[in-house]
Amino acid sequence: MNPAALHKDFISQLRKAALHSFQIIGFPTTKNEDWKYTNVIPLVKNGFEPVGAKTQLKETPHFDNIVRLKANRLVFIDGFFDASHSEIVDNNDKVIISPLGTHLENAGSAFFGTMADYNKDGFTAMNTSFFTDGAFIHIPKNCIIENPILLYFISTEGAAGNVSVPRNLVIIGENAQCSLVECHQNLSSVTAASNSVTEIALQENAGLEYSKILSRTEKYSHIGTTAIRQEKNSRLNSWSVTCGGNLVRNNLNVMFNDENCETQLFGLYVLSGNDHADNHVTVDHAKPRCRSNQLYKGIINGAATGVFCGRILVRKDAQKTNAFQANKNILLSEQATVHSKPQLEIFADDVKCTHGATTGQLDEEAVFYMRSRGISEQHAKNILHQAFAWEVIDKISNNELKDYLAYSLMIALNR
Amino acid sequence: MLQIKNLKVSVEGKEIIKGFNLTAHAGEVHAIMGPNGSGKSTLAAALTGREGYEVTGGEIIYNGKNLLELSPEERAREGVFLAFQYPVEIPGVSMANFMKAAINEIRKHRSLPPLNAVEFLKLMKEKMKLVEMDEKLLSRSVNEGFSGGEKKRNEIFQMAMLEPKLAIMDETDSGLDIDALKIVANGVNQLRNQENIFLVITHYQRLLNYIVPDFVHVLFDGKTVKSGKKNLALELEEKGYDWIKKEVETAG
Repeated sequence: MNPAALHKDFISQLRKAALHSFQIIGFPTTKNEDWKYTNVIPLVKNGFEPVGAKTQLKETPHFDNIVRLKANRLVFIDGFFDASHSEIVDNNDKVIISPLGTHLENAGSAFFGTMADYNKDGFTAMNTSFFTDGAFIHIPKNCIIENPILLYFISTEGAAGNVSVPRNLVIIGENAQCSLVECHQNLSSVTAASNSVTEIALQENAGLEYSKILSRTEKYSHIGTTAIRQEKNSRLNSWSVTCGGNLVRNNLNVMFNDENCETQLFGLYVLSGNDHADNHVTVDHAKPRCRSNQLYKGIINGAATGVFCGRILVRKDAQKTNAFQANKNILLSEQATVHSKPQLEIFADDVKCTHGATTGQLDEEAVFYMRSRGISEQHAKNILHQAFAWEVIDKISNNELKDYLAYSLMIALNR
Repeated sequence: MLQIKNLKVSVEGKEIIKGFNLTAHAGEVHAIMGPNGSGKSTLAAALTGREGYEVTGGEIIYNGKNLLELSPEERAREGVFLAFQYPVEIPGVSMANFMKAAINEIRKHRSLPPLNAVEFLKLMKEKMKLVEMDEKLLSRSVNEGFSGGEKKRNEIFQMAMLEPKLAIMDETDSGLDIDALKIVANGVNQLRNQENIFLVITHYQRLLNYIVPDFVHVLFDGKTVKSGKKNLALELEEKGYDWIKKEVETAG
């Protein structure tokens, strides 16, 4: 048997195993502690079938401003690669930025399916079994990519009622660096959903800036898992920005597989109406001398619900761990709700771990101070909301991306 | 012209200002003095429309307009300015952005175009000199990490930027050392002109050595119990508030 066929066989075996797992565990209910505040049954009971085939579009979708970002862009429509709107600006023979489909055979069984565990989570099992396409990115050793890589996933009318199932694998080689932006949007006027999984491996001394953005989320539901494995001395800065959504669940699982890793996880959710967004973050300190920091913030209006669950696991061997977590929320209405749940499980004795959560209203003193200078009440509130959010996105190094996020947040805040 | 007639203000159902009267003309500086709890800060809050301060009687007529019908921002746009006793910290909002938003809303109200970045920066720098404020503070968050003196200077800086017609200073002297006090007073004196009115609210006479008032009013238990020229402040300093209390009691 030739190696390519062997890999193909590997993928089909994986799909089978995941399907088997999915049939056993199924979709979670609110009886499951990890899904206590997020009921997915109404979402999955009707039309949560994977999109079967690529949609033939009658006209070009009206892309969002994010396509203007100078980036190596891969566009996926309803979970299928769309070459005509994709573009690579950093030409480098050794770098692979391509749809998964063309590279599945070479994707490396050493990585694929090893970070996102399909035995524990029904959505990951479904994704592993039914994924249609996605990105395969390999930044080889010592390589630094100048422009960000944008993975742009959109839902269109063609996928109406079904769920798109993209799957990404990202390998950042030894000493390599890049910035990755994963954006999910519903560009249709109908209800749409996606179930995505992104696996990222950071090799020794690798560096990654990873931004996951949910914008243009009207009538959109998204269940997404990002599973990251960090090797020795690697560094990760992650941003998860959610601008609304019918039902959003972002799972972010980071595992330190060797010593001296560092990770900064920032998150922001701006919700209104009946939006529901649930961020589950897990940092697995499996090895000693690693540092993690989480800062998640929410602005919640209307009858929307925000959930933050931050789990820090410090295993027995993980001495000299530094792990911090903070979750801050502003509730702008009586009906707005937030569930904030820290989970610290510490089995090592020489560690520094802290966590804290605050939930409050807008600072009325500050609003009055601004009004007394002639600034209207609404404008004053906008300024304060943006200032609250800015702490999260301020450290993003790409100014174009930061501008885009500032713009998206302004829209989300003024819905 | 400002006319406050028989003003009554309650906080949480308790009457604090119990019939306050004041008439001030353009170009005048009025000092309002009084012991702790006499209602000085409540008066400032009522003039600027702060929530929770309920006006239960009387009126405030300012340049022919009923001030009580206007929102705090509308009052500011009409030229009312309060230098806060306790300036508010606003993390994440830079001084520059804050002032830009304020000045452009006020300009809009006066049918003036917004200032461009260059004009705005020039104006900021010019006005900062007035109160000897460090330019570095421009990029910092509003009042965050400012010392007590910097906060008070910042209030006068904002006053200079917005060029109010009715400037109310609420215990601006509290917590200031003598050098900072002189700087603040010097800034205020440069802003005095024939078109604006200053209400200087203070517990102590000290500030009035540097900002010399035309009139002094003594507030006690929510009412003006004595009015006079600037030497009334000196008399108060000498005799203390007990003198006023006794007079009120004797009269009662």
